[in-house]
Amino acid sequence: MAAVFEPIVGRYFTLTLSGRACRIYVEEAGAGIPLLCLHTAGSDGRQYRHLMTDPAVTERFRVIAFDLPWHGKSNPPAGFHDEEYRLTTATYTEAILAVADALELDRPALIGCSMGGRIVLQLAAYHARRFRALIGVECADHQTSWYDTTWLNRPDVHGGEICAAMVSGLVAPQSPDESRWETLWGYMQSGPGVFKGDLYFYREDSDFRDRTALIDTGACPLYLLTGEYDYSCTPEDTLRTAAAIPGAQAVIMKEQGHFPMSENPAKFREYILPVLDAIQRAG
Amino acid sequence: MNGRPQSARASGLYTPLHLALALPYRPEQEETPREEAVTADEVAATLQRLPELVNGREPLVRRGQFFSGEFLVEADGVPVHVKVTEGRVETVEKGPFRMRAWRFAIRAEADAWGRFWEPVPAPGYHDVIAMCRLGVARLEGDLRPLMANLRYVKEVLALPRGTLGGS
Repeated sequence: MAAVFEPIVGRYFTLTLSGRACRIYVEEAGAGIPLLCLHTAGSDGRQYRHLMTDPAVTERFRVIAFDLPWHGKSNPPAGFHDEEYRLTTATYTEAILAVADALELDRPALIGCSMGGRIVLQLAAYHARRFRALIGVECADHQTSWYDTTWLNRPDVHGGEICAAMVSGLVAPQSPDESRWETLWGYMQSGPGVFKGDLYFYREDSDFRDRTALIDTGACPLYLLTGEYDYSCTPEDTLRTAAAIPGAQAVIMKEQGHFPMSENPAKFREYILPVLDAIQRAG
Repeated sequence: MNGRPQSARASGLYTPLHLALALPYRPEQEETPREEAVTADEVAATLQRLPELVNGREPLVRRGQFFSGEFLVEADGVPVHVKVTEGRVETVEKGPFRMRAWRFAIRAEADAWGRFWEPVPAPGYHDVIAMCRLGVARLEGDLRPLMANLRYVKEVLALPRGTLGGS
């Protein structure tokens, strides 16, 4: 039987980030307004595969997801074996803008989840004119630390198992089992110390509470969508953030957790399609 | 109640997205009043069913095959001692104890365990780690064996879900 291919196409390219060559994996589907997708900490761009196979999205959006260096199919740079990986606000921002430039995206819309939602605020404050809309999923200006991340990377605790077990409760109880476990599989697969290194950005290097006033939603619309079962970025965190940003639009998603686009894609459609409609209308 | 964080109040600056885009919206989760609070004795009785709930589940026992140890599950200060040998729950005993050894303890309010075991738990009560984040549970002792077997322990403790009052 002939293969029935999905419309997703993946390719590699090399990008210089912080002076080092990084081999980046990027995949995309659809045509129209570019929609750049940012995966969560300790996972990769596969989280967006359902958006990429949804004709209601791909008939009008060119959906693009890349794996950050160290994640998914993007290698860590040469020399990684002797260093501790740590993502920072500066290196994360550099990677996003460099990918957008390399792909020659014209004022893309951007969606980021969790740490990808946090960096959305940085992009909104300092790079708003480069984007036509910003969507922060599970996005807040700050997160109170709720566990010791050293458990995530030590030789006497299996890294893949603990990363998945630590985030498994962030999936809502209502999410279908198949999607729940596919989401957790991403965490089981991440390289040693990668999730922990991402959380350095998320926990230590990106407290945004004193900078939300810099965001001008007139320059770039900002949408915030958070799942009611997310105890990492709580609904309260998101609503506090939204309240501090005039013009920000926020919604709490029922029966969703921390990974809506991958843990319950059918439910996520109900929330993301109206946002994409609004982005399309604005042009 | 129960240390649950208060919902952020809208300041009026941001636009609730449901108004702008006609989305389903529930800004604040109402605490669902429970008909009757679960007691520490009921939590202990529920935990005493773990051997029958766990030991016949081959995938779960296999997952825990490298875990042998003793831990406490506590409700309102009443300890229940659970002994696991190679993934099988050997004994479950209700305290108080004198000089009983254990490696780690998972302590919560009885009411929190009751909510945790509801068929569809409310946000914050749906996971042991979530309850810790919420401030209604805490982990103590030597956490290494817990962290090394976190999926197993979480799945064991969740097994009574939806069975309260039906035993």
